[in-house]
Amino acid sequence: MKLLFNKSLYSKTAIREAIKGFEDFARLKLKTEGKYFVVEGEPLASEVETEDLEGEFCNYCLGMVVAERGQKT
Amino acid sequence: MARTGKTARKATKKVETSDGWLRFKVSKKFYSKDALYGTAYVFLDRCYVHLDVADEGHYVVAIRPKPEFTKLDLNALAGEFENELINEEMRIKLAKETMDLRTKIVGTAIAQSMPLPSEEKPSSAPEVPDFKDLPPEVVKILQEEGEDLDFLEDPLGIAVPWEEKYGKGEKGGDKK
Repeated sequence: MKLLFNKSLYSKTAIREAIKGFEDFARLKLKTEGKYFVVEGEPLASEVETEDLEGEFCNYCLGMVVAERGQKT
Repeated sequence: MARTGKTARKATKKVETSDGWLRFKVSKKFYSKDALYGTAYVFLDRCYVHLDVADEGHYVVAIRPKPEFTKLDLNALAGEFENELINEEMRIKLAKETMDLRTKIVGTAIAQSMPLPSEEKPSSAPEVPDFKDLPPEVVKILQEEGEDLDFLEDPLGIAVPWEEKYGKGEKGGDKK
């Protein structure tokens, strides 16, 4: 599982929070590659669909970013 | 109508449908980042949403229905996304336009609800009973009673001390 998050759209704090929130479902690591934050890892349980986990992780990150922006305004 | 259609095509352009994800571009010229986030947030319950930047002038939105919503048509979802983008953009524009007015209304409401220093009652003033929750006929009776009541009057002589009333010698069982 490898996900790219553009730095101009996603904040590092939001992604870190998301990784923390997914601790029980996947072992994930955050890296930086150019314009992107890269999240790599594997699901902890084999019965979890990687594609669904990726999607849920994307949504979680987006939710965190929206919440972050809501607090600032 | 034709002009609107052209504008819509320029604002968002379908890119591809692969691996279950529908990707399409959204013009930065027409839609702000806040509108994009707001729209994406609306779709989080039905779809997986991922945002990216295509080039200097476009964002890329990738959406895929969640397992429980696989029957949803991807193109219809994309159309709905575009409509919601317009909705969000309009909401943001209106919020900006009316911000001063809303601040003024709330400010005025708060200011009016606060008592002015000159209107405050002095602490020594007698308290006026609050009858607002009572039925009008009860209020009328209470007000009439209130007007008649005079605590300085003592027709039964209750306030007169024993000594003054009967004299010192009559106190207790001494007189018997």
